[in-house]
Amino acid sequence: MNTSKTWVWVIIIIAALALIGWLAWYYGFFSPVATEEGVQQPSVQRPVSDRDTTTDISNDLNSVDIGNPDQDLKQLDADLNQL
Amino acid sequence: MNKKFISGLVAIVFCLAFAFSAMAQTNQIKIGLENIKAKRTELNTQLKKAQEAAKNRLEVAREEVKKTVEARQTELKDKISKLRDKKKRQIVTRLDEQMARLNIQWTDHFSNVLNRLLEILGKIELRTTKAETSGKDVTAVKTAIQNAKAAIETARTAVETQAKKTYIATFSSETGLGAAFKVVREQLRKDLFGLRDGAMKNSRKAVQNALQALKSVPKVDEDKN
Repeated sequence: MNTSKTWVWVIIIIAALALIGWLAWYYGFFSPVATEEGVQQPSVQRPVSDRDTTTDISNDLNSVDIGNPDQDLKQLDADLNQL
Repeated sequence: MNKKFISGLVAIVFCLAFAFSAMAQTNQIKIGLENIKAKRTELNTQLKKAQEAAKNRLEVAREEVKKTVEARQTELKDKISKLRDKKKRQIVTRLDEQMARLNIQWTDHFSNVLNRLLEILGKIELRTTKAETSGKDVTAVKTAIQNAKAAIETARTAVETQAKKTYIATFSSETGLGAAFKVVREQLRKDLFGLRDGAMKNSRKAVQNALQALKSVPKVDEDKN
């Protein structure tokens, strides 16, 4: 009876350790690369954002205004007509 | 005892098998995520360098013609000072300044538009990397991205050429003032519209083509970053 309880505890402890080990690895506790990147992130400007679905990109592209110089050139005409 | 030992051992083996299988799967995902992270960092560095280089190139182009512009403006000021009509002197001075300023403003604007297009192209490239990481065929997108980069570079050169141009009227008499300045104004208009409707629109179209190629990749927006 006593030996049976011991075995149950051994199995639970091993399973728990395996689970803890996996969780620790999954969240990057053993990964030096992830830590370095975490330090570098704030110093780097990031214009290429996460919002990169084709809809987001399409919206970005549609908002690009190449412009029309005519408005500015018309301002010259008022002066030109006085010459 | 023997039975309990075997059942315990089997349970441990199952636990470990589950843990290692999960680890192997998450490892694959993690490698993919690290590739995308690295690509994003690489793109940002490239983008920053390209924008700084473009700014420098534009400044160098303006510096190259600075002496010529100064010489021609001194000549023009001399001619202006000989005009008898004070009001005309003021208008001509203002027109000369405005035309020079317009060329600077519009070349700066076009350069900023190209920077923005390069940023958008960066997003297309990042999404392409995600699609490629998940095993999709992105050959057509990569070709379209290269074409867009080439089109942006062509536009950059065209903007530099425009920045080097000078718009200074030449006139010999007071009666020819209006006509002389209208010729220069028309030339400025022609050049700015030529650049806008040519190289600038071509580069935008090339980015649009790259986006279109990306959109044709099946389920491209479903790839996680």
